[in-house]
Formats: sequence, structure tokens, C-alpha cells
Amino acid sequence: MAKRQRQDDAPEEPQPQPSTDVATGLSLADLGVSDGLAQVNAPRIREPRPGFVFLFHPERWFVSHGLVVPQLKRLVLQNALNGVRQGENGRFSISTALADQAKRGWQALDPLVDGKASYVYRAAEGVYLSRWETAHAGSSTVTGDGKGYAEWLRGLVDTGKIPRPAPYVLEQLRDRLEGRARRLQDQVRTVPSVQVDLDAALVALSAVEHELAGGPNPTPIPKGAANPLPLE
Amino acid sequence: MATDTLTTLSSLLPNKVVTAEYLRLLADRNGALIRHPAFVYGGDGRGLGHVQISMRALGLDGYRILQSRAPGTLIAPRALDFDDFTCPVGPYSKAYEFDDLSRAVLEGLINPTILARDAMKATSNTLVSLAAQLVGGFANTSGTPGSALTAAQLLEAKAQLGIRSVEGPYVAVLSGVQFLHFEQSLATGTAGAIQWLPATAAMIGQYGDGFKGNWGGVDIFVSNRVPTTNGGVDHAGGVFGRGALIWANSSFAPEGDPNIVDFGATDDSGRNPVRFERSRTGLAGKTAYVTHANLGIIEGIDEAGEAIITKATV
Repeated sequence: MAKRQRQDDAPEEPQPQPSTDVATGLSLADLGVSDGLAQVNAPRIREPRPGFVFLFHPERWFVSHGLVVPQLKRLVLQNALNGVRQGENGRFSISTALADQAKRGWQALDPLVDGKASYVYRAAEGVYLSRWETAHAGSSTVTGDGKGYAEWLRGLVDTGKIPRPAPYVLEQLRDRLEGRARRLQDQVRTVPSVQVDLDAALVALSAVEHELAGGPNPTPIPKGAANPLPLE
Repeated sequence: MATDTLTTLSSLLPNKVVTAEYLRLLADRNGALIRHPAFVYGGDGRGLGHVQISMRALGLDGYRILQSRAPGTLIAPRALDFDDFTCPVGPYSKAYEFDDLSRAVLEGLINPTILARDAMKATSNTLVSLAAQLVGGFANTSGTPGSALTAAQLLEAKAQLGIRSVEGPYVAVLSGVQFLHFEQSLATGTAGAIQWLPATAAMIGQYGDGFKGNWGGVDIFVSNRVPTTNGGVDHAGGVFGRGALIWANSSFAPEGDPNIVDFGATDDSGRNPVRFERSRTGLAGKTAYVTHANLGIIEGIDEAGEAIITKATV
């Protein structure tokens, strides 16, 4: 006997089948979303990051990715911060600030110090980052490239744009790294995860010793021929 | 028979209901950091005739000890040791503008009282954000870039300040990540040899939420305005004593205008005069609320601070 079709049985409309293609996946319509997505192109960094000039100090060095490199700091271009002045035309005057920093041993590095590209760029309105920092569309995260930065710094040292560290500076750095390595050697006995830090400390120590071995001979302080001490 | 649903009644219902209470968007609101005695206040520039405030450092109170001399000989006078730090003061401002209709509709949420409170907090937060740019700029450094901050490194930094005869009390300004690493180091090492003294409610009331406690004689503050360095992979915090950072401000000359209110030193720092004014554009039916402050901060005695540069990622 044939099945009688009930009057209120409407013929079923074919339901849209979700795409099973792995490459295309599910669309918004497949997921039942009725409106669209707002396009976000700009980074969402809320607070402004002012521009800056890098400063170098002959006694501030560290080891990064096996390279002995200077530890720079930033002279931030913001009005009344560390002596920086902003004029009515909006431009910054940093001569006084640089003179103050020079008294403490700091020297400015021109943004085009490597002759190729500026080390600072504008990522968004009011947001200035170094060349090794990347802002991401729709995100407040800024990621960094420590290795690339270390290689750039080492390049400046090797090409003479930044003078090599004095031996006493390297010796102080070596002493600190030796102390750190000793503490880590004790610590790794009870906290095995510290082995990674210990390995890094030993690599850094090796880099400093290599730099010491290959560096220029220290310029001795001249000693007078006569005994300078007023002894009877 | 018909059943009404939200869909059929939609024209009778408001689009949404807004509660009276509001949340605060996330921000670092630790404006009271500047109250710490390690920060040196250079003074109020109003009436001094210059936008730069100078603070002198003198080599007295036993700075130079006596020299021995042979009996009957003259002692040669020596020049007084001194240094001088010049802190310029510059204008900082913020403004919000609303039209009359929005002000009327949002009267319970946006009104001069709420905006005035925002003005005071924003001023002290501005000064802290300036200070945070400087704490990692000292020539002497501790910590290992690329590695997590340890308690031993903070101890070393404090010891270096002591070796250089830096006046206390000492304060450490660290990023949130640096503080996390420090706490982890405390938890897994030291075995409580130096006791961690967490901030009490009274201390937080005085120094703000950023004050976390004291360890080994160093007051520890956390500010997420501590900048990154080394290509963005490290944070540049610091520990310092008195004289390392010097700040100044300038109050405002009275205007005698009821639309301009000068709040005395009522921001979170307890020192900064804040000007809050109402500016009306009647032809457009708009009112702007503008905040002004005159601020400046510089590095003082470089040896009075030690930068702490360590890994910026958890």
C-alpha cells in the first residue's frame, strides 16, 4: 500500500550542506551568522609611543644570541622628558638633552647610522617603533626580533660606527656572567629546568672571553720614570 | 489566539538597557608612585621667570674628607664639588567635547564631576608614564637581557646602590612580567631567607595599586608603562634611590573665570596642580572639558640608579 502524503507534510526544502572541503571550511553563512565581520586593518595600540633616538654608552654592554653588543637606551621625544623641548611648531629640540646625556657618557646614534634604513618607523598614528618591532593589524601586541637587533648592533661595532668595548668593561661583564653561571650551576642540581639558563650563561661567557681575546690591547696609563710617591 | 514574542513587541521595547554602574577599561592607574620619597621634587615653576627648574647637588655634609698635611704647612683650598640638574616643564593636556544633546542624555554618566576626577587621575598617570620611560636608562645595569629576572639579581642591584652610597629608601619600578619572574624566583629559591613583605591596605592607600610590597629593603612597584628595549624583547625597569629622578611642575596663574577651576595638588601624586576648564562653543551647541597640567622629569644623579633589563615575555 502506497503511503498517503499528509496534507500538512510540506515537501522538505533541501538544507544547505556545510562545505566539507578542508581548504574552504565553513563560511559565516554556514555557521548561521546573519551579519558580517568588521574589517580591522590598523594595530590597536591604545597609548601613543613617541619617537626616539638611540643613545650608546661605552660601559653598557651585554651578550645577545652569542654576540657582545652595546645596551642602548632611548631618548624619547616627548616634551619636558629628560630635557627634550617641543616648540610651538611641534618639532623637538634635543640639543640640550643630548648635552646633558653627553655629560654622563652617552652618545647619540643618528637614525640612519647604518646608512641603509632608519632604525625607527611609524607603525600607526602616534606609534613609533624600532625596526625590529612589529605591530599587528587588529591587535595591541607588538612582537620583537631580538636576534635581528643583536646582529644589527654587532654590525655597527664591526664597522666602527660604535667603538669596541674596553677590556675593563668586558672583564666586568665576564665577572658578572661567571657569578651567574656559578649560581645556576648550584641551582640546576635541584631545578633541572634551569639547565636552559645555564647553557645560555655559558654561551654568553664564552662570547665575552672570545671578545676579550680578540680585542685591541689596552692603552696603558703612562708611568713617570721617577717615583711619584713623596716618600722619605 | 496570538502569542506575542520579543520580536512582535520589538517596537515597544528599548533597544537596550544600560546599567548605572560602569566598568573601567583596562589601564595602568598607578599615579601615586610619584609619592615615593625616592622621587625628588624640584619645585613649582610658577613665578620663577623660567620654564626650566634647576636643582643643585652639592658635595657637602662630609662628601670630601679631611686631607692630612705636614705640620706648619698651608692647606690648599679646594673647589666645592657640585652638579646641577635642569628640569624643563612643559604643557600636557587632554580634552573631551560633547554636544548639548549627548550631555543631556548622558547626564548621569558623563558630567563635570566625573570628568574632573578623570582629569586628576590622568595627570598623575601622565607623570608616572614619563617616569617609567627613564627608570631603565641608568648607565649601570643588572639583570640578564633575554632571561627572567631573579631575586638574586634584584639583590645585586640593591647592593650596587649601597656600594655607591646611594641614599635610600630604594624603589624598584618593574614591568608586570618582571615582577612575575621575580615572584617565581622567590617561590622556587631563597627559601624565605629574605622575607617578602606584601603591601598592606594602608600602603596601597598611600602609594596606589602598583605598590606590591617590600623585599630586602626595596619597595617594589609594578607599572606596565615600563618600556621595552633590545628590539622589543626585553623590559627596561630599574631600581633607584634618592636623586636618580627629579621632577617638577608649575601651577597656574589665577584667571578669575568661573569656567576655569584650578585644583590644588589633589591628583594621586599629591603635588600636581591641575587646571580643569569648560570651553563652550555656543553657536554649535558644544561644550569641551579640557585638562591642563605643566610637568617635567629628568634623570638626576646617574649613579643613584641601576637599570634592570630582563626578558619581556612570560
